[in-house]
Amino acid sequence: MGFKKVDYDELKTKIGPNFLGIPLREGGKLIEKTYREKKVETSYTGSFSDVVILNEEFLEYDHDNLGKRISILGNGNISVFNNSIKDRIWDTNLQFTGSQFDDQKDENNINLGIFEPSSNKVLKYEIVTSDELSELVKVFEKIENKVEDLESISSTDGNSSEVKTNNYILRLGMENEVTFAISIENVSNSPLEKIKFKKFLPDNFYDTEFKSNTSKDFKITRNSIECSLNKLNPGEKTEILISTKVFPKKKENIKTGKFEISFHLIEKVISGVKINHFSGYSHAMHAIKKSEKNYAPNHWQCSLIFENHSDFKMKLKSILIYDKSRSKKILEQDFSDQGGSTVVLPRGKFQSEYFDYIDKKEPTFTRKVKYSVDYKVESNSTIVSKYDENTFEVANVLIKKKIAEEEIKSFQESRINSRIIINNEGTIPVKGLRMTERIPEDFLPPRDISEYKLYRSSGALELADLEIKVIPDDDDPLHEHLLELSVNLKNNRLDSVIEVEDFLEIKYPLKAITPDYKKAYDFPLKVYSYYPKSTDVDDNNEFFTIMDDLSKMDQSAIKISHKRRKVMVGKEIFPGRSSNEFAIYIVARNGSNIKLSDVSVTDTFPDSFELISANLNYDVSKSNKDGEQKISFTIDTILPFQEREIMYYLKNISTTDVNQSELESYFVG
Amino acid sequence: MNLQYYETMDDKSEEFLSYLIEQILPYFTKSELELYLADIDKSKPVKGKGTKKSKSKATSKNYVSIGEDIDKKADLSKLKPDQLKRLFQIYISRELNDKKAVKWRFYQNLKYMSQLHVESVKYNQNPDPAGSIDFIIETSQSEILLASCHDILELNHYNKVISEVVNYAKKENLLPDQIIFATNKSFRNIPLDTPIKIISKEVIPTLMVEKAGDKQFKREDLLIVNDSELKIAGFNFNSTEDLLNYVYRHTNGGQISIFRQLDFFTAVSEEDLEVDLIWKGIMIK
Repeated sequence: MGFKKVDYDELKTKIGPNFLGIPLREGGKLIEKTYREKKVETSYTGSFSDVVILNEEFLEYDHDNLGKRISILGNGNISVFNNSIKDRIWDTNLQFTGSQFDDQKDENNINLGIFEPSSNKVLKYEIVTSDELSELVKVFEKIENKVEDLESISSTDGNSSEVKTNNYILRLGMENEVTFAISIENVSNSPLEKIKFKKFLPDNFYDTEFKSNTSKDFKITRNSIECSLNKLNPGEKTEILISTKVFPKKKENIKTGKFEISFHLIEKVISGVKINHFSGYSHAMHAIKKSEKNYAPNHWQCSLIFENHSDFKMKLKSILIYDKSRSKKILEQDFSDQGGSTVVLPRGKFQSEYFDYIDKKEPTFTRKVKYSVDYKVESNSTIVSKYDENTFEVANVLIKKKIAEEEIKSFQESRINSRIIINNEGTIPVKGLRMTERIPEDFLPPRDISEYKLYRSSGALELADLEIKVIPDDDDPLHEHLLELSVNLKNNRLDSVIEVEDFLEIKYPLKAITPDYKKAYDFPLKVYSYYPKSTDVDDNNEFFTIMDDLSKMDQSAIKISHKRRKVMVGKEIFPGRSSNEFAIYIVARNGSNIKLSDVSVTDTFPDSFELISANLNYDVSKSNKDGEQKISFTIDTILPFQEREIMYYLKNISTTDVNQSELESYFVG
Repeated sequence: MNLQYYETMDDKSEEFLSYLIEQILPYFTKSELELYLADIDKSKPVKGKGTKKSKSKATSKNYVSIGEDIDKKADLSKLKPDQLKRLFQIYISRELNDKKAVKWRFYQNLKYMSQLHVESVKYNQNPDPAGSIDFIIETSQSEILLASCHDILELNHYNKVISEVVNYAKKENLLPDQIIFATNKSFRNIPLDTPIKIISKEVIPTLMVEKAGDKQFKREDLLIVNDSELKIAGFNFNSTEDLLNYVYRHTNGGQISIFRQLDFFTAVSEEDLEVDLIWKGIMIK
């Protein structure tokens, strides 16, 4: 039989076969009797047992993705174990101090009552002033992308930005090799033991490898890597290197992965709780031995004996013996000089120094003996330090170059309107931009900044944000020039040059001085996009740069046409059926490779002739010369190496005869 | 052999079972055994002067005094095999954990519970299986305690008992000082922190669960107090605390040593049985 009263806290939190449902997390102050746990080793050897006070603390440090502490949650247990399998302990008293006992300041002297053999009691407490606790480990995670065209540049002295929120950049549409270097330094003054490290990696990562100078024992699962690390003494540091790969196929948020470190502090509690004193009684007997001296009647030789009847070591603290009426102090032994007490082993005996007493009868005394079971204190702390994750940014720009003029003529000076469009297709704005274009000989870039125009979706950019450099800075078309154009790098006035999903259009004219159609001109274009390393908008000293070059496929080639005209217009007169009829045949032959347009042909014939018909539209008008008429034709197009024919018929309307010589007129064509 | 389950017992003879049943402590009185058997055998109430089928409405007529004939030790010699088996399963192996088993074990516990000084107990002859007031307990301080027993305490059973308590209190013009829920298992959603309002009084409910395990002896052991001042079968108690409460009530106090004779009730031979000291201390009366 046997029923036990259960209070509300126990019903909610205690784990046991009597309770159905999920227990709540334990908290607050509870004193409960529990079964002995195996983790405390008993020193029972059949004749020796001990009382162990185990002070354990469990803390969880939470940090944000900068490594800055957000919160600490912690609780502690003070467990008192009676390791004897036969002896009880009673009237037990525990005294402890500690600033973390917020609600127990007045109760730091607790009577724990009776301990049955092989039993324990647990005092639970929460660590409430956790903000005052110092960090025990200094942890820094350095994330690097090893992809080749991602460079890191710094305009300052290159100090690593440990306290900044970094941007972590991945390239879109290519394999990125990312390394996570996590350094762990013991900044406490105690050794850290049983260190375990665990890093969570999202599904996107593959080919993960692990390196550590202190651990070769690691386990990689689908989403995490974990390992045990060697003990770290105060000031010691260890580093873990994880290399892995990721291939972002689209614009997506890829996390850097959380990580956590757990470790034990042996013989130390974090909160400052201290077990000052424990006392309790177990089976012991004390008595005063009185022997009448052989040679001196009524002279008694006395001593106090103390017998330990328990399995515990007993600490004898003091002995005070008075005469019966307590008017005279006979013996006082305070063992505080001997480290506070003298120890009587199990079943051992202590005998005080002898003292003499004269009495006719058997003397009686009043005595007070202070003693307690001995105990030992063990303490340890288990700490879990958690660190939040960052998000990788995906960087990508798309470059297009367009030239308004499809072709230019060889060996002629002309102006080419060049247009470069850069689209930001990543998840992070482009802070600054540098563009270089190699301008070959026979061409010249503009050296006047006002000739450059920059546009975004929000409108034109001011020239103050632009800087150009032409190398060498001259107008000699005999050698090549390097045009370097920087946006928002010198003055750094803009929050960004290209916002996410926005574009930048750069327009400028190029001068073709003497383009040679036999030469192949190349205009290699490179665009360097600048992304700030830190998310802090005021901190623009360090950048990641990504170089993209315009592939030849995407280049808009300049066509240099070498065109020379070659045309011949012939006239032939054919007599008709009668002597007063003539047919005039005109042929226009294009002997060049250029299309000829609007070719105008004009002929004259005397007034004595009448125009009968023509195979093309014509225009007849009075000539400036008397007695002549003028006929004009316009051939709209003569394609390269094509002939076009014009035929018109004339009839003499005068009475006089005409001859051909009159028709061999002045011919314009 | 051990006494863990009836079915695994090598010796299920009436003689052996009777011998074990005789060891059950505290002893049954005549009236207790009659009420127990009537309840277990589902027979009609023995002293039932109240309504027979008033299950849902608790009235004072349903309640009869139990255990007042403290000097009349029950005669266990005429128990039938089924009754012996049931007694074994409830009190010795404690393998039965249904509502009736919990109720009768709780009643046994009332007799030596240290925190209660029971003056009289009234027993409900017509309990409702879903939840009812099973015992009305009066203490030596004239406090009235209402106890309801359950195999598994669920929230709806709890609420049903509360409503029955309120009805009963109004009907009988009785304001209980304590409401006890005795159970083998309990769900955690029982609102123990919420006082129960009974007419003008607020009472905090008390939950008592059956203990398991915490003891320094086995059910097969014989426990010997001092120099055979008391001999107690280990199966009577499932905690050292209960054993000490019983010993306190049934000895004169003073220096007490409790020894255990290992496997006394299941040993093949009585020779060379090991005897250990399991408790030594003083009991002041």
